[in-house]
Amino acid sequence: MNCKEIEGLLLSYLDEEVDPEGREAIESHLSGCPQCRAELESLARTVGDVRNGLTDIAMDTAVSPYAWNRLNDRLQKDQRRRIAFPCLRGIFNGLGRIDLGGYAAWERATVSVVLIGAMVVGLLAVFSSSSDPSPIDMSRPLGPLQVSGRLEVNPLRAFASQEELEEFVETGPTLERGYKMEPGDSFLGATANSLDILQSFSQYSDSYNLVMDSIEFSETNVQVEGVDESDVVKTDGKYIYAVVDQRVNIIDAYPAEGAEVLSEIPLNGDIHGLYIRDNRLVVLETRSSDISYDGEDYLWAYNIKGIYKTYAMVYDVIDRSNPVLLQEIGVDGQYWNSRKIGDYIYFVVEEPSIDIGNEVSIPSIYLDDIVQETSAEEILHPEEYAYSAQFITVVSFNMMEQVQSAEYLGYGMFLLDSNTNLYASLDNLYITCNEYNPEPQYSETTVIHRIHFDDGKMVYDASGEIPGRLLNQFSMDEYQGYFRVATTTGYVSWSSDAITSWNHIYILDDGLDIVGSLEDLAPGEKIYSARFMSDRCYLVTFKQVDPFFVIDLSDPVTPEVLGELKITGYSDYLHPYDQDHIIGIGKETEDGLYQGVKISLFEVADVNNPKEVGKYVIGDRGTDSPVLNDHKALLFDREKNLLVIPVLIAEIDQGTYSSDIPSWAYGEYVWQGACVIDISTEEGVNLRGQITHYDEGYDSEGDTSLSIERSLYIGDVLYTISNAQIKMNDMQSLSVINSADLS
Amino acid sequence: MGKRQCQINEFETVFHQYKDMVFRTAYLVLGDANEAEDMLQEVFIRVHKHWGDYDSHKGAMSTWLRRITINQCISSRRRKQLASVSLDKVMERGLDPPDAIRDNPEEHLMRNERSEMVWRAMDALDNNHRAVVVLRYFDDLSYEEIAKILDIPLGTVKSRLNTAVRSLRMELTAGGVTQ
Repeated sequence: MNCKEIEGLLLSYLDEEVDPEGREAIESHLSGCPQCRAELESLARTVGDVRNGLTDIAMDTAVSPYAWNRLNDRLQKDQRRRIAFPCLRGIFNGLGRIDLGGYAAWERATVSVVLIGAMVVGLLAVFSSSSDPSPIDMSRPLGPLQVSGRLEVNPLRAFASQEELEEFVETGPTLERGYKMEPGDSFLGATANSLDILQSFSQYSDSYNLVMDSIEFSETNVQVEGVDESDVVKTDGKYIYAVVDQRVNIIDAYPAEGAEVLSEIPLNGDIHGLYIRDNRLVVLETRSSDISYDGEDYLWAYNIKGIYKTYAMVYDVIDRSNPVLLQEIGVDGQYWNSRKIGDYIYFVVEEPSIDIGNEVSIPSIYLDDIVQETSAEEILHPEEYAYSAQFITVVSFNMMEQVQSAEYLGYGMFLLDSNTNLYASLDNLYITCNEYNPEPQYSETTVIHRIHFDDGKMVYDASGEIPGRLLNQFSMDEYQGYFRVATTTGYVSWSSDAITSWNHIYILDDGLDIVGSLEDLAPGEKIYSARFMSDRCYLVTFKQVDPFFVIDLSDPVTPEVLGELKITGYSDYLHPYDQDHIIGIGKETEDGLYQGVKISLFEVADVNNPKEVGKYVIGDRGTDSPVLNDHKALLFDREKNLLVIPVLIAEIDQGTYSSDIPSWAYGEYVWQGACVIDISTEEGVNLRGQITHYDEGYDSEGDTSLSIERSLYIGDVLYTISNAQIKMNDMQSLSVINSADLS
Repeated sequence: MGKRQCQINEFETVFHQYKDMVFRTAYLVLGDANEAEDMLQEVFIRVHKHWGDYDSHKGAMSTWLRRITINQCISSRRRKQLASVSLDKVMERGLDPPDAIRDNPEEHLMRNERSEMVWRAMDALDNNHRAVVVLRYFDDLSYEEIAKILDIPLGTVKSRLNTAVRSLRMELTAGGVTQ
């Protein structure tokens, strides 16, 4: 390593964040380089001063003795206000993704998956036929979101002016009820009734007909078939696109014997995920514009607006070794969520409403150098909000077409408080918001806003409200015109046997009004996972044992529990296996305390008597898998009898306990990698083998860049991807075929 | 009513246990004691609101609180010029100076000078960079823990810290604290 490289590592070295190998290299360089030694000393002095300075500053100040009284007052006041006005409020927490969802989904995404019917694609067809994006102009203007004319009482309405928007942000909750909209009324002069319904086009799907050589490969594990979710690793059956730190690597992956990294796209921001379709790659990135990392070019960026911008960057990857940026579509704010349906990307960005000097700055939308200014009159909002209203912007575009001008972007803007989850079917986007009422008994409701879309054009057409809060996107499902939701009200009491929580299923009609419900399931417990599969719902609740419920939804008006199964452990994620079986991935439990990671196979052929027909437990207490928080980390293919999950294994050294190992004892982290599981109705759940990138053993204190985050398959090759490596193993024997460095 | 009371008590305990941690972190990132007081309120309003979402299976209470605090601070767009911290300021706020100051005013003065310098140097950073500096050098968290709290890649933690420390050095050198 040369001085420049060493210099970049010195701070990590000081902070003891360099792996032993790097350490050795740095130390050997330092011993012969007085210049770098001086730099190290200088950094050490700075760090020392900063450490001491910060401690001094912090210790020289103290919390006001009245802090608790002030907080308590405010909580009481909020409570009174809510009791006084239990009317519809759209409410959401500014926390939203950042604090809660994010917390739940901690282990940063990582891993991949496959599933529901791997798509068979003709590689030659894909890579040659679509070389040139359409000579036919199939793109069409999209424009701003419309409000459906059929909404009579509209829970969300647009601001009349910038002043009203500012007042809304300044004042906080108001007391009026839902805004009355006349049928056909619209804030932009157009209504859904007048929308041109243009035919959807399918130019690119034609290319799939030219199958000449078909190799099966896995796709990201998504909730709804046909609704793609962005991920940090994507494949098209030949190449793998992988986010590694702040880069996107394109790897020629198949055949595995000749696998190599073809190119990398270096970026400055945080990369949230990718979409790939034919020769187009979309990268979703949030940049913080206040700092350029070039050192010299350092700016104080006290710019008030647009500290964060989130971009969908469209690359042409026809030459995989030379990706070319075609377009950037951006919005002020941070990335929240996204989906791809057909050729259309819908991405959602959140930005706090800013209140400086009474000015509220509305997010702008960017198309390359064009700035599409938006106005308060385009922003839909509820009558009231509780904490920090934030802008939610949904932008849609056709990723296969050049977006010629801003009119070809679709967008919808909202000012909401506590947006919690997003669900998308093939036709609709549902945004849920939490509403919290302190009386009686801290009840919560969830408000649901539906945006109908049709090839990028968006219409806000319904809102509804149900008791309770949602766990995640899998708590929702749209099926045959009905929207089904699983919720929890109240909170589990961990310290007593008191019944303080309940679980419910609600079925809503097309207008998002409740038509059927099943309330007060599993009192005293909360939902750990839910999965709707056509006219059934599977639900896992937990406190001491795992009730696995099978619920019949075939009659939307009178849903009923068909059967339940109580076993130890719980599932954080449920995945369909086949008509009669469902996979549960979660943790084993003992005395109500979680233990190792458990994979179960439930049989529901006899719906009244669900059974656990297979289970496999990995590791001791402390063992964890990203699949428990992020379904995209799972690779499952029933036909290939393949289930792969990344796991960090903790093991308890039996020698440290003289008698029985107590159920609360945690293990030490000893291994990280992918567990390859055989799963079948005949043989149950068994370990086929394990793949790790830590060839020299896992050190929980050391560098974690070799931790496997995703897995996928192409043909008979199983690929595992960490931040530093991609490894290829034979899917059956698991023998190593090849590997390539990503760092 | 009984149940609610019980929750409030539990909540109050958590408040008193963690208020200093939350306040100090907010103070260092935001650079203003009044802002930090407000932030303390905001954070616990949120904690109260989402009390039921905390899952001890998934992490320690302190981590959860720190995550809420830091994210709130970062998204707080108020970027007032940082006020310099001094004994006067502490007195002005009507608070008792910590024992250390009373016991050894002279040593405090020297410390105070360094504090002032570090304070001004921190002022040149934006919230994002201040956050990583505070999490690393005040809270003493590892890069990985910081990455988790901020929900950013490890590489971003490294690059932000590198940028921040070099900027701090420049400011401190100009002010004569670090050579």
